[in-house]
Amino acid sequence: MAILPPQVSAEAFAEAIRRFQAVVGAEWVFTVDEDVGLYRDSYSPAWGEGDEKLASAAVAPISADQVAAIVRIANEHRIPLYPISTGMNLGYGGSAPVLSGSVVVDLKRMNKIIEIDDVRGYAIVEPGVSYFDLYRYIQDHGLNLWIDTPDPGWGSVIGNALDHGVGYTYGAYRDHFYSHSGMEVVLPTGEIMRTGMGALPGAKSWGEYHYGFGPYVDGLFSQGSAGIVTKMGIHLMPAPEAYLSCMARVPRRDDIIPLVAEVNRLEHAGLIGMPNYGSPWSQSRDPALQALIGRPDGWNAAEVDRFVINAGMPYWEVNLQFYGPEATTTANWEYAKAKIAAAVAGATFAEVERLRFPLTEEQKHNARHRVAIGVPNLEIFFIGARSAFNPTPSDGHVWFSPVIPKSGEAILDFQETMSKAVRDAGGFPGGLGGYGPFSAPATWMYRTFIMISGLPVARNNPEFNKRSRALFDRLIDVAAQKGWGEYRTHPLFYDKIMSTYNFNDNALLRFHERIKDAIDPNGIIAAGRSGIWPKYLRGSQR
Amino acid sequence: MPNRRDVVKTAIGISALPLISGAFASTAVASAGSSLRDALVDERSGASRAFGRRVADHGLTIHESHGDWSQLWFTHLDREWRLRPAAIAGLTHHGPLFTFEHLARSRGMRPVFVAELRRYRNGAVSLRVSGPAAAAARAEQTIGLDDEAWGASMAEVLVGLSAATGAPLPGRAAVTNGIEAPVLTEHSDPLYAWMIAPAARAARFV
Repeated sequence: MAILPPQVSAEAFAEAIRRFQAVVGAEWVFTVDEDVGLYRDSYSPAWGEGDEKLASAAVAPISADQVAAIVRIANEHRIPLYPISTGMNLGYGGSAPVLSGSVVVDLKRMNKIIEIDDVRGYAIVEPGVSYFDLYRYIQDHGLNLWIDTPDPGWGSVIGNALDHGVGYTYGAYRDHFYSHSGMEVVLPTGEIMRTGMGALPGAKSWGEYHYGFGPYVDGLFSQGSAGIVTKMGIHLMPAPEAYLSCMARVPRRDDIIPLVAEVNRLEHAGLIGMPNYGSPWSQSRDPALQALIGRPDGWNAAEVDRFVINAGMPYWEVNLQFYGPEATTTANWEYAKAKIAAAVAGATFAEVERLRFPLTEEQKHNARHRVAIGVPNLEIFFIGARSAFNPTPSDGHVWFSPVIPKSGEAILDFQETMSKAVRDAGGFPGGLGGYGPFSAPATWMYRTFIMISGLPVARNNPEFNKRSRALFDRLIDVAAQKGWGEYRTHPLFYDKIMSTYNFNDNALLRFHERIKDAIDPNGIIAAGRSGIWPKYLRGSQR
Repeated sequence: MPNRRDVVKTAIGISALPLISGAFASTAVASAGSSLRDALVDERSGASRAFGRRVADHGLTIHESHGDWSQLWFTHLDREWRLRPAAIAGLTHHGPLFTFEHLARSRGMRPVFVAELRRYRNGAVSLRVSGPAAAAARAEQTIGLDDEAWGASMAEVLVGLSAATGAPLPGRAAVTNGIEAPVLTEHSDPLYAWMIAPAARAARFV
């Protein structure tokens, strides 16, 4: 055995493993390197280095009762556990624990869809249910429902929600934690608790009403270490009759300000689904433009704007998506055009795609953006190849995901601030990527923008990874100084990012620690998750 | 009900596991036997098209794509592998290999052969192979071939591997054409000839 949990003897660990085997069966406890090694984070920016996070073993229960038994045993032997659902959040840590030596609790065998209702629009699922699984069930049973799915469909519905993961349709659905409803949780004591309406035995509305009665505690289990979630309700979207995808384009750099204002109104009024901002110039290899952007002293917004205007192509574009009856999608598009045209001189418009449902499998495959119509796929992983815009594909990436206000002013401020930060830090590892005058926001969050960027990782190049990690650290600092904080991150940066949420002498972290100490005094669940360490590790790990 | 291996979560990219780590060859070498039926062909690559033509001659079903096999997996392979995992081969870029390695792992399968070909702008070529010793030795001889010939040769290697029985000795190779490779980034997107098959050890738990 290469790794033991901290402060646990080989004898105590062996005894705990023997008892885990008695609970789940020996074949569901993984202890040899060739199995345990599979829980490494394939995108780790510390691959093969001393601070790479590694598991000591893994155990795969099939029921909440088995999870509870594992937790009780872990408590007796002080074995740190690290629960994963499907472990596919690549770029944010994958299936590796935060604390090396933890035993991974792999919940993949718990893959039942407990309940689903296409009239009331919800499902109750176990953690091993992936988006593909839920989608297949809905298709096979002809249910009048859509799922909201992230780019890779192999992730867990529960896991993504707990990580504050997102999708691509309406705001009420694409924030997956927001759209969850009630949980079953194994607490650090081994006690099983249900939240929301699930706490009422025989409740008829577990999957529908979030709150139940009394203080709302579900947030403690998201990005948290307060328990192991074994069931969850999730709201599902009614299958629409039609989908309409359209593009609005505006000519000048500053047009992003009125454009965002108008699109915000459309979205917050429920008239559109997720808007997708971009720039037709973002992948341009025009040498003159590249020279402007690559100036040693940084790009100048007025010069870039002038270049774009002279070229006669729009600076910004936004893809608007409409769902519902065909007549209302068309009417809403006409309304959106009128509002944007009135707000931005020179705006132009184009219809991109019009679909009527149901689609054949071939039609789904050929749709321009499958996740926008609730179809899970793996295109983002299949298409990782070298191209003109990605000439040096890496072995992975870690996502830098700061939250900024949902305004055009914030986008422009972010571009200039972070371009300078990257430049001052010596550039982006690999030479491409980072931020520039055409960086557009990700719009997964209903009420904010995420200015996401993937810092590349190279398995065989620790120096390269060191540069990525150093830049990541620097970007966290610069963002925090501007009031921008990350919504999610790789475990290597948990402590750093939690330290930026430090209002009133880290009152939030201290509150988390008091909760942790009270409900998990032995610190066995997900030690270090989000920078919340159990008392016995606070000095040594942070 | 998934078997034991079904829940051993993939977390290692193919570029590290088979070609660098010893774990690949020591545990995942399997008897692909005659179970190889499907092969992936990337229509954008001359080497892959040549690979496809050759494996089709051997009776395999070709699945052509411009790089995204999501539909194939969802409509065909996922259902089939839930019932009975079956070997699959391809000549692709890294993305599809990485993705299928992850998908196949949850069905008790592992890579059993991977050959990585890198061509550099200065004419240097490097080839790294992991797999059964005999197949690795055959693959090693292809370093001097052009893309199309290399694709066709890899087809023969993989079809030969699928016809083998028993648990062969693991092997690996790393060869160049004698020209020193320049900096890491100055090469075209590497090509991978690969086979993923039911892992021998997992079979005990199916």
